[in-house]
Amino acid sequence: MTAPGQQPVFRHDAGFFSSPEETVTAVVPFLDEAVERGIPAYVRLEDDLAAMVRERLAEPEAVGFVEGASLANPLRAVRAMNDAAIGVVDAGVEEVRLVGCVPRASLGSKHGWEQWARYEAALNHIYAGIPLWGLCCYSTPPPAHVRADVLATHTGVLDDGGRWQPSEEYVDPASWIAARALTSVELLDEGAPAFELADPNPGRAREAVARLATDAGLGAERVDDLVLAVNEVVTNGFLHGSRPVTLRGWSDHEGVLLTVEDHGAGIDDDFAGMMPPRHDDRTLGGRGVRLARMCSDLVTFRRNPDSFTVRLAVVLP
Amino acid sequence: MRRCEVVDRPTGFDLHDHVLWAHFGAEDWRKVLALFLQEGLVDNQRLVYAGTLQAEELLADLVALPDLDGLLATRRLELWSAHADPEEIGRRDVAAQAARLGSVVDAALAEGYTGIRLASEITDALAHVDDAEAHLRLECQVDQVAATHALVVMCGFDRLVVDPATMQGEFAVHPLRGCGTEAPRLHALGDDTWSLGGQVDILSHAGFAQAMAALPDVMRGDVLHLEVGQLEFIDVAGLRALVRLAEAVADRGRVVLHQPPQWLARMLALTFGTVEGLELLEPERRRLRKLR
Repeated sequence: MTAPGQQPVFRHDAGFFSSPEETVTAVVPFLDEAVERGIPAYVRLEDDLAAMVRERLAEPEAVGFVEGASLANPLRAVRAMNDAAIGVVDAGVEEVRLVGCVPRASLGSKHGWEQWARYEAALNHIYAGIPLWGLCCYSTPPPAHVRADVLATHTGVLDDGGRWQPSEEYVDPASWIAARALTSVELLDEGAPAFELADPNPGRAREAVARLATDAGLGAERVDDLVLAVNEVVTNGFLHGSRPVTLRGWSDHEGVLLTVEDHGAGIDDDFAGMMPPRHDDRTLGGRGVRLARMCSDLVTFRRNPDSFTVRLAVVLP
Repeated sequence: MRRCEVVDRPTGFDLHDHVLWAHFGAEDWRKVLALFLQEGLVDNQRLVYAGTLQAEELLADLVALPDLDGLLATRRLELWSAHADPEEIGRRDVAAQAARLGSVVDAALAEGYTGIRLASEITDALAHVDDAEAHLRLECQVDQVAATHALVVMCGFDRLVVDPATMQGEFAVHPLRGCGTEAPRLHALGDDTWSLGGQVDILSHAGFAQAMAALPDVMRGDVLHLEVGQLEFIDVAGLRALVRLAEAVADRGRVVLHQPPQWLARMLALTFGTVEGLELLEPERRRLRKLR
């Protein structure tokens, strides 16, 4: 914990616990100390954990609780965190503390965990230099591969003695993302596409995406989401990339994959679109990519020798 | 009476038709070109492909045409490669070109053809302002020839290259247009009440933004109503134009979107959040429709 007078930096720590009760026992002192020192503190946990924390806090009314629905997907979680905490930082506060979690249901899902793992890595990039101390709680023992990902994407970890130690397995986010293997849905492009359109008329592109997603079994709202997402990426390819812009689509029992390839330099920020724009920023830059991320499950960028490819994947429920 | 309407396919044209077709790059144009010219083969017309490119480049656009070598050898198909020097383009004698065209049509008729089917890719011809103005004069002359001779003409241009203002000028001198169905439709329903329909995407960003920018100047009261129930699609750039509209009237009122589809409300929330001065009334649970 930061000592009074010590300059805080972004810390992204993780704690592994055996039960919700053990989790609450560890995080409540963290929050109580913040309140005692006048440090703004927030909780973004699933509803049952949040209720337990609220009950044990010395001054629960002094801690901000972000609703559990913000955990619907990682980008919504980032947005909720921004709304709650970063605004306070902008006002000149020198430290903010946040206790958060990943939905427990996602830990046992291959694609579900992958979304959150990438989010955990992205936080180290998005909030680097922000005086935020984030504490991610894993309130049930996670599978081994999840534990390994957590250690690589968190700067510190709570040891058996209840002390916070730097994580020896931490990997900087750019390296982590670059080395991250694609999921099986994202690798559907190893096979022949269901369709391929070069320099597509955008209306025809949207139609092809809608047909593929509908035939794959996605629900109506997810189909519309994917159409919106792909349209933005295709548009970016035409406006900022280099033609030909090629849209391809695949599907199988696991999900749907769309790729948009152009022959330009592409986006050089692997985390583009993960950070919500400021409320007072009404420019257009980056909103298309952000929408693509919000409307898809997994979005990745790949730079090839003479082209740039955006992958958008949606996993079937 | 000559046809004057929006068309949605590059076939079904008769003598005296003069169509402007906005394509989406070389591959798209070649498919359209092949369909247009093949119809001329069926109708026993002599085919002409004209442009500012060199002959070899014009040939490349015709790869999809069957028996290309045979068509050229028998002069069933002719290539007209105009002078490629940009400085020469503005100095061409428009009237002379039109007269030549009329003579060519008459010659084709004398050889037993039913007329001339002429296609031209005009993107390069519109590259400079002076060229665009000269080209408009040429198109007017061509249209007069099409009206009085056995001629059917298709002019194609790359929609992502030609600027919107030039496009509008070209639309004005072509009785048939092949891309109007993609453009959004904005029309007044009454004072400060407008209906917006169709699709707003990369093909129509510029025109849509200009239209939205014009609305504040004609606003009379303090509420501008936009009926968007007929809006089939809008992208982030289109939403940005709506947000700018709300910002433009924020000092004196607000913009109200009536019957916005739920996907639009969601998209707006995801990309711009709550926008001061922009109110959504009665969001409808309606899917994206008419995606083409």
